[in-house]
Amino acid sequence: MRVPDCYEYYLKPKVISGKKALDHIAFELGGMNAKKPIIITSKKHIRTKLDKKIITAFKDSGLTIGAIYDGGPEYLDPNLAYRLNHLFRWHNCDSIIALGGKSVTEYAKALNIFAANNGKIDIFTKDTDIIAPLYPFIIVPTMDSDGYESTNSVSTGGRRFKSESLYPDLIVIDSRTTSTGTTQDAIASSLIALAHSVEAYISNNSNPMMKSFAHASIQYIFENIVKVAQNPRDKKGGIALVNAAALAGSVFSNSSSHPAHILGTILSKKTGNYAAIIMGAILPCVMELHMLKGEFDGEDFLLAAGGFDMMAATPVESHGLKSVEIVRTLTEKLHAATQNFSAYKISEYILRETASEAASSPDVHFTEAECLLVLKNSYNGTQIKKLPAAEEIITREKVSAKGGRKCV
Amino acid sequence: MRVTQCNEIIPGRKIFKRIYIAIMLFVVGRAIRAAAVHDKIVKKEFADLPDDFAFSLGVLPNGPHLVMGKDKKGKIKFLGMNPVGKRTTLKMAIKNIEAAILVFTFQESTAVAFAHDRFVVDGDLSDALAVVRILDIVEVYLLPKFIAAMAVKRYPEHSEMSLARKYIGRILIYARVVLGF
Amino acid sequence: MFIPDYYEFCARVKTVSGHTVLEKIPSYLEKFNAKRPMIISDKGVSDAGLIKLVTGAIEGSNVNVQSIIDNVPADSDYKIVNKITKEYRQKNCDAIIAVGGGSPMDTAKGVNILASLGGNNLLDYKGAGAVKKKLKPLIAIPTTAGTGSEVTLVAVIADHEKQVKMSFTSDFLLPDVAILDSRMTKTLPPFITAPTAMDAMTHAIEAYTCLAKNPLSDATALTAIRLISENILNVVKNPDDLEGRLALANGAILAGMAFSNSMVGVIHNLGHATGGVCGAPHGVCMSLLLPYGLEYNFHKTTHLTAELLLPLAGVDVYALTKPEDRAEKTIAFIRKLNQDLHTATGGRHARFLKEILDRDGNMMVPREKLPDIARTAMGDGAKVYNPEELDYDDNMMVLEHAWEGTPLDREKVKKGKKKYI
Repeated sequence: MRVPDCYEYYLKPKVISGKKALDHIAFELGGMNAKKPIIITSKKHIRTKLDKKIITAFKDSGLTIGAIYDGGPEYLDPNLAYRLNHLFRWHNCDSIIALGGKSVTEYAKALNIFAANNGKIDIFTKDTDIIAPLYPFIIVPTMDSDGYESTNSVSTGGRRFKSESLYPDLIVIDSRTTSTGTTQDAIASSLIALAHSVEAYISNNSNPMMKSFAHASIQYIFENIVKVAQNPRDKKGGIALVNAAALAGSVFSNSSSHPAHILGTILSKKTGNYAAIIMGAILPCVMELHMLKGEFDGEDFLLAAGGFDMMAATPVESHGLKSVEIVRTLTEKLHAATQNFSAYKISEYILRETASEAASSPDVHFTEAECLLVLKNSYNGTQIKKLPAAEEIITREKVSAKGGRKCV
Repeated sequence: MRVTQCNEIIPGRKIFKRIYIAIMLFVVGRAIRAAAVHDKIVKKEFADLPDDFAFSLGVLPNGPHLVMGKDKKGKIKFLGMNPVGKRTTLKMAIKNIEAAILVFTFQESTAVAFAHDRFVVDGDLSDALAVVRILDIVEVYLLPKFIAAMAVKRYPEHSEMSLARKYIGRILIYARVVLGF
Repeated sequence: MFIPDYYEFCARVKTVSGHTVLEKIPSYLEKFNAKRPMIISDKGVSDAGLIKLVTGAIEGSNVNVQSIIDNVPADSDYKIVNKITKEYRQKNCDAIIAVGGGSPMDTAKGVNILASLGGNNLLDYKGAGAVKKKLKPLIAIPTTAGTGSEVTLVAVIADHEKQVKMSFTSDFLLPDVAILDSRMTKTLPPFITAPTAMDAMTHAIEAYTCLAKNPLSDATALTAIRLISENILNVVKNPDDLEGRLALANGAILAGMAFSNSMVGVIHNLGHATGGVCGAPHGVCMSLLLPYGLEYNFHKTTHLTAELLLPLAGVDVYALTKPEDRAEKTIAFIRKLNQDLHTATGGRHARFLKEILDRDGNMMVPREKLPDIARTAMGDGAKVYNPEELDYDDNMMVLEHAWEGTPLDREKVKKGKKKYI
């Protein structure tokens, strides 16, 4: 196993997972000198009575819940975050719990920044650093969590903030909150988590630590996604997938290259279509491109995704191809997902625009030509068989020379 | 929901579970005291502990507890269910009432509960291990084999605890638990 | 993949790994607004010139080392912690850089408690829940590969008066940054490289096979085993191999993450006791007890022991070994590894307890001491996490075989029926 010449890795959140995990929150908050959390959630989770489950878990714990708020829209509204800060202060809360997926966690992170800075930092209009220390922050992911919750960033009004302070202190995974999702939730979140994990595995700055966690995430997804998609009430499977998503979030935060994520997100914003489906189709093409460039051989990936027997039965020179094949096969098995997104009827100029925008991102170590190649093939559901012209390829050496392969 | 409509929520209590744990701790406390008289291994375990040894075992944050300790003559005393104001050299606590239910309904053995970080130990760890060993022996006396086998890592074979020792001990310990002497 | 009913995992330490990463220390201290660190280390590290490496790397930056403590003993006491904290305050330090193995690391953690939370006596912070606030910045630089102390949330500090060892446990004790620089282990001689790497291997294997195992500790343990197995012999034979040194350091930190979160079992139980009673080096005890621990737990962890063969011996050996033989093969592989290390170190790496010798060539673990070791092991916390029960007779049986160097007779192991994993 190769150890890179230098790397950095940080897994900040503590993870607690399993039976009665919610009941441990009080003890953990006590360890952070907190006992009055505000809970941010969504109407979807109120409908499945997750708020009641948390209240029951907090009985006899000595905790008082400052407030439970469920009214946020899909994307972070600056005014709401500002008003949540008043609610936080009104009830003298001292910690924040986000119960739900990405949008809920965005609010919670934005609230934390406001609250910790007493509303003084206007994060939506000025370029500014996040000033620590923030309040104790716990996330309780649900089946619609794709791992973005456990990252070190928050997107507000089109801008993204990144700081280690934004990592949650604690991730609590309990079957009471992971088994109330739908098939669509399971598939969407797992596809995104898979894309994050695989990209971390093959990124420029991949290292033994990142690979350990990415390996676990990939293995969990492959072992559980199909059965959870068929039965979203599967408790053990649900816990496994949410664990996978949390790990995917960690490796995503630490890896330097996320082409499938960036391409999928940009295209999803431009067209209004599901990012998960687009990322699921883009991922195999990203893997193929890396393979053709000699940057991905698939051996360890195949062990994680297919198990030892599949790896041993595949000739070494075919590990890469087999890896791509099993990712494509997985998307086929997930009935709500498709191997391509031509059904979305996206015009070529949108694909070109997306490729251009993605290529200028520091987190995409592909040229515009490479991005377009990936998009076109994933749109049509075809394999990438040939690289673009030599001058239109970027190698890992060129990325390093450009300063894109940062050590620390 | 408007922001101004979010009110404070004080989660209530789990009365029945508290009562159940309190009863279990009471029984265990008396049983430990009885075993300290009748079982030679428990006697030796306590003899090897410091003279001023006293421990509490309970549920956080303010759940039921039991307190036991040695008196000046080295006799093991059940010091009640309230640790407040009592000097202890070892505090063992289960982090919350649900974890305590898992332990006292034998869904998780003591060893597994430790492995699952359900316990918090404040004091000498080797003393805590002695208490765990004592608890294991007491559970073998108190419970039928099919339940005790879930609670302990290795149920003692006949060569380690003869049937006579087990059944006579069980009768004597239950008698002391019920009658309180 | 195994999913336990419940688990907890915390590895909140930023890991920085490379061949010239000491030079990044000032930038990390700057992020914490710290410029006046204290260095805590021991004589061995200082004599090896490693503290000079650290200070040399910091020189010329905004950081000014205010104090260097390089005389921490192998078994640190709370009074030493109190004394060092006084110096920390006098020199107005604002961070600690711990350089060394277990003892300097634990001492540094103890000093950090007192320096951050106030007071003059570390004993005031004894007890669970006493440390519940973020402490001052602590950077850990291990010089062995290793104890894994750079990622553990425990500090073990002795009270020599009462002859007890106190454990301070808190997530806040974790260092902020762990710096793995290959230069820090370059001068480690082969006869120390071998047992320290096997100590790390034991951490990983016990984390994988004991009661508190969980998916994250499994993931890090398997990678650790692979890194150590792929590099240990090579580095013992070629001490200047910096790539190999870095790989071992990575293996050690991953193993540290694994065992810190899923604890250890019979091997550490008996190894700690052997070290406590006879003064035998920790890593040496671990490496020779490793196959015995696996044999003792065999009936409960057969499938896990079989799975270990893949990272240990590689894909080819794993594929060529029948599934029903893999567990035995794992144990045989470890025994062979110990033998190879014994040969590569000119006989200095002990394969059994009776082979452990002090500097003057005297046996450190005489047979008469085995009962004391067996009794002492009864009070060690590691036994709680072992899949099989351990009583005095069990301990004696394992120790006697480990002393002689004969494999354990698994038929004689008392087998509990309850299977946890």
